[in-house]
This record gives sequence, structure tokens and C-alpha cells, in this order.
Amino acid sequence: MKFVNKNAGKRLFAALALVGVSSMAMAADTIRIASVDAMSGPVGNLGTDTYNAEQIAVDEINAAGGIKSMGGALLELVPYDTESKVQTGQLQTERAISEGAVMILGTAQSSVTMGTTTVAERAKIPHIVTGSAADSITDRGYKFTFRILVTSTLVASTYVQKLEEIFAQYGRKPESVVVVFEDSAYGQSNSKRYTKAFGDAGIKYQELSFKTGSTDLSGLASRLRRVDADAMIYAGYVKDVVTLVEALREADVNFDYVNTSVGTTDPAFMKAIGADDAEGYIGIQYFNPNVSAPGNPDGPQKFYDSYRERFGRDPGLTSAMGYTAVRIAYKALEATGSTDPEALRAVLADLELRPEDGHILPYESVKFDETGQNVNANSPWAQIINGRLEIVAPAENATAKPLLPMPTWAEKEAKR
Amino acid sequence: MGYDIYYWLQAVVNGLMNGGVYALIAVSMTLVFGVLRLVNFAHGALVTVGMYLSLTLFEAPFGINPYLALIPGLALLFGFGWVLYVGLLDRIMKAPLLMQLTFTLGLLVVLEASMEMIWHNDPRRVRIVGMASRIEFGELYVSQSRLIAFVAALVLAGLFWAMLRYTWRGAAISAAAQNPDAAQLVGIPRRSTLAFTFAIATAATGAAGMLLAPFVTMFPYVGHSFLGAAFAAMVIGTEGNILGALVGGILVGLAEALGATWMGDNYKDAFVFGMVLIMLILRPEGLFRAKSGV
Repeated sequence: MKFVNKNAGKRLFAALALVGVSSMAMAADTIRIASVDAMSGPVGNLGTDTYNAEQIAVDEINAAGGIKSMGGALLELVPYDTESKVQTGQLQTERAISEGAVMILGTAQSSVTMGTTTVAERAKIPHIVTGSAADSITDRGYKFTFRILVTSTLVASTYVQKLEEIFAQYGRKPESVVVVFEDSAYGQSNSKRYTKAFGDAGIKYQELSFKTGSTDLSGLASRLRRVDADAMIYAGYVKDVVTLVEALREADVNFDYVNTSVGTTDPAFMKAIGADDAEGYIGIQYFNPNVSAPGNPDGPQKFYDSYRERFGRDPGLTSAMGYTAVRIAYKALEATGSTDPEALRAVLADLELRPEDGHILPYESVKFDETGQNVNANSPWAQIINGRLEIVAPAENATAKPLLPMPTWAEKEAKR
Repeated sequence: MGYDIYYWLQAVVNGLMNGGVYALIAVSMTLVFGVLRLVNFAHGALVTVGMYLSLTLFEAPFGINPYLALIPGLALLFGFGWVLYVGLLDRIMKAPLLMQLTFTLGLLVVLEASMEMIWHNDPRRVRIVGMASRIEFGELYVSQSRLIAFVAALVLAGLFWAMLRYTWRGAAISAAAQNPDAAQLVGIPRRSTLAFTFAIATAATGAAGMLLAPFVTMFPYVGHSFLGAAFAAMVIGTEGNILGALVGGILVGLAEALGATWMGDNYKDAFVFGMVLIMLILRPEGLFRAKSGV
């Protein structure tokens, strides 16, 4: 799947194929949807985790008789690897469309999704965004882009609220934070939002930056060792988080509260750091099997179990988004009864994925506003407590009381 | 954020520790360059091979301590290097430069992709439970695993140097480096000498990876950052000069840490290579101009 044809002729073919795509799909017994995602490269684990979950949803739907309004046509899910690269993502989207995909699902990276959604918009093929949070994805007036995940702005605006909620449970108020951000677009835009949110809330903050992909963060750790703050906030990918936490351990750096965003909740984190050393870290977790979706109490656990059974590990950060994306695609196809892109788009714009449709996320339903953004999306926080990820904020989703302060390195070492 | 003396001293400690490992990688790279006249882009991937070898031996049912694992590790890596040379590299030793570069670049890509297929792209780490994390002296600290890596890397680099200096094999390698044709005339077998050179360099590079495994987050592409550092160290220490590469490695480690303290972590690579560029302009032959490299 890594072969990318860069010939101009291929693009011409893509354009030609587009014209006939809906009729071709109708004639066939299968409806093709494309999982365009990072299945190799720096964030290859994220896309793979999403694609895995998409397969589960597709198999469930096909086992239940496929798309009834289309004579029991089966869903066919085809993976297209972006290799974690912007350009490859665009080329793969073009290729997916030229090969008859009626809907695009993806991707794990905002920068790549910016490109894949542009290709889909130009070709007028609906694109369901699974794992990218950058505001700009739904800010461009695109008609064919629909996002399940939260926006970065929402993550930041609810951040202080959740932080204060956790501290309040111990009769405290967070007074100072240190924000550590990576130098990529993702880290910098996040950092800006956080610092604004903290400034507005009157919380003292300071910033430190590092280079993403660094193999050694001992310099950063020796600085953090001298920082006096209640909380450390970090936004970045799991590899950097593992390196950072290792550097914190070496330098014996302790804060009462450390939130490493999507790093902590990636199953790879606990595996690399070890459950005992990972204790107390907090991060965003969009899906947790112990948090029942309103109206679908068994759904989350069922999805979790089938994922574990089939792939032998926990679902990744955006696995549940992949599952949900396929469920949305199915509901739209069933309602439309055809693969006509304009008709599909119109259905998606009004669609609501409800518990009976296989909605497993920790809120009422998925539905999109006029920009294509899921209006109900949220970003719960999970903390590693006794080696398990427990939701600790917001209160209505919580599965456990937060641990504050988190154990120090000395306490962790004494326990061994 | 203050820039008091503590930060600089801690940076010197951190830099020295990293520098020791860079030195070992640079020493083996400079040997390959000096003797085989080969710019080996796959060198970084060999570091990664060492890291995963350490992880595999560590996670095996009988679980070998990563430092003890160096003994079987060095032998396995030596064998791997020998096979790589005899099976692949020997065929391109006489090829034009561009073809050689493309070949080693291709080798890098294939090695990394193979590692991704075997070990996946998740971040991994060798976790040694029960070892003290750090040694503190006053306000300064040094991580225990980094200290071990530093000392072991210097010892290995020293053994490496002594082998070249004092053994028959070493003399043969030096001869092959100075004049391959003449060496062959006096009965030094070309192919096996070059194979031995590449194998011992692979063992040293992989050993550096094994020493890094307890404190560096490993993933299939992690070797790139070490490739850059090793190139810089090799050039600073004059290509082909073993002791020069050793000093160069330590200088690169120090420059990185001091650059990070001075300009911030994001700019440490630019700082190191800025230094290399200045040095190439002012002193293109490197710090250790020597008649014969090895």
C-alpha cells in the first residue's frame, strides 16, 4: 500500500474515474470507503490503531447484512498509508478517490488532514475526520469535511475548568503552571491557547520549549528541576513524552500534577515507561471502556473487548473515532440509499449518530454544525491510577477520584 | 529563567555523558570511512539495531541484563556486520561514489523498515528495575545508566584503538587503509580484512546502541539523530582519525548540551552544525590533521 504513483496521467485517470464513480459503486456488491491514515512513519501507531477499529465496525456492519437500502451491499474498507507525511496523504487521497472510494476517513495528524480534506473537497467526496484537532480543518468553509474529534480551542477552553475541578477536590487551587511545548505547529498552537486560557484565569505560567524527536531531554529536565509550579502541562506525541518522562526520572523532577495530553493515554506510554513509573500521569482520553456512553451502556466495553481480542492490545487514542467514523458512514449510506456524493453530503450534514446506531463515545450523540464540527465532542482526562487509566475529569464522566499530588519519583522507587 | 552556573555545570555533565556514546559511534564510522573509503549512511541504523538487540535479549524468557548482554551482543553484531559486508557491501567497493552513497542510503531505509516490521513503531525502552536512577553530588546529578554508558563507550573505544595499534589484524587494517594494493601484494587478504573492519565497526556501533537502550526512547528511526552527531564528530576530529573521532564525539556532546542551555533545546543541532561549518571554513582538515588516519 505504500506505492504512490506520481504520474500526471494518474491524476487524469482520477478525474475521469470520479465522473463514473457513483454508478460503478452501485453496480458492485461492495461500497468502498478509504481509511487514509498514518500507518507507518513517526505517528504510524496512531493511524494503525484507528484503522484497526474501523475494521471492527465494518465487519460488524457486514455481518449484520450490509447496507439494506442498497440491497445488502457490503462495506469494503481499504487502507491508504500516509506514511505520516503531508504530501503522501494528499496523493493517497487522490488514489483512494480514483479507486472508487465514496468516503474518506482519517487522519491522525492535523497537518496531513489539512491536505487530505482539501483533496476530498475538490473532488466533492465526503471526508470524516477522525484524529485531528487543529481548528483550521473546519475553519475553511469546506462542505465535505465532517469532524468527530474536538477542536484544539475547545480542549484549551475547558482546560482550566477541569484543572480547577481536580484541585478543588483537595481543597486547593492551581496557582502556577509550567507549559512545556514542542517546536512543531501542533505544539506551538497548543501552547498559545493554553497560555491564553491560564492568563485569563489568573494562573501564573511560564513556558519552556524543546525540539520534537529529541533523543535526550536532560537539558530540559535540569531546567524543570528548578521550576516551582503546581502543575506541568505538556502537549506532544507519545515518543517525546516517553523521552521527557525518562529525563524527569533521571533528574528527579516532581510536580503535583503532570498532564502530558495525548502522550499519557497512548497504550505505548505505559508499556515503555512501565505501569509503576507511569503512575499519576494525566492525559486526554477520548474513549474509555469504563465510561458508558449515555443510552448505550454496554457499547464501550463491547468495542474494547472486541478490539483486545482481535488485536491483542488496548485501543489507541483515536481508535474509537475510527469505529465511530465507520458507523457514521454506514448510517449515511443507509439513509441515502446511493453513493451520490452530494446526496451523501446532505445526509451527513443533518445526521445524528445515536446510541442505537453504535455510538460509543462518552456523550449523547455525534452531530455536526454548519462547519462540519461535531457539536458534542469533548476531551475527558484520564489519570493512570494503580496501573489503569481512570477518567478523572470532567466530573460527569469520572470513574475515579483524581490522585493529587501524584507520587514523587522517590515514592515510586521506594515501592519497587 | 536564570542562567546561573548550575545550568552550565549540569550541561557539561549531560554533554560529557552523551559525548562518550557519540565518540564510540564516530570512532567506528571514521574507521569505515578511513579503511573502506565508504560513507556509510546506514551507520545510524546500526545503532538502532543494537538498541533492539538489547531489548530483545532483555525481554527474552531468560532476560539478560543489558550490560551483560554486551558480551553475546558484540559477537552477534560482529557476525551481522561480517554478513552485511560479504553479502552486500563487498560488491560495491569498486563502484563510483554516487552508487556507493545510494547503496548505503538504501541500506539505511531497508534496515529501518525491517526493524519497523519486526518491532513496530511504538516507542520502547529497556527498563532496568532496581537500579538507582541517579547519583547526586551537591546540586548536580548524573543518571546512572548514562554514566555506565559513558565509561563503557570510552573503554570500548580504547580497546578498539588498542586493537588497531597492537594486533596483527590492526596492522593489516592500517596497511589496507594506507595502500590497499600494496597491502594485497604483501599478502594481506583484501576481502577478509575489509570484512573484519566493517564487522568490528558494526559491533562497536551496535554496542553504542546497546548502551543507549536503557535511557533513550527507541523506535525504528531513532538512529538518524546519532548519524548527524557522528558525522559532525568525524569531521571535527579529521576523517579517518580514531583519536580525533573520540575527541570529536565528546566535543559534539558538549556543544549540544551547552548550545541547548544557551539557545534552547530547539537550536542545539543548529549550534553543533554551525560550529562544524565554521570549523570547515577555518580549518577544513579538522582538528587532528594526520598523515595516516588509522
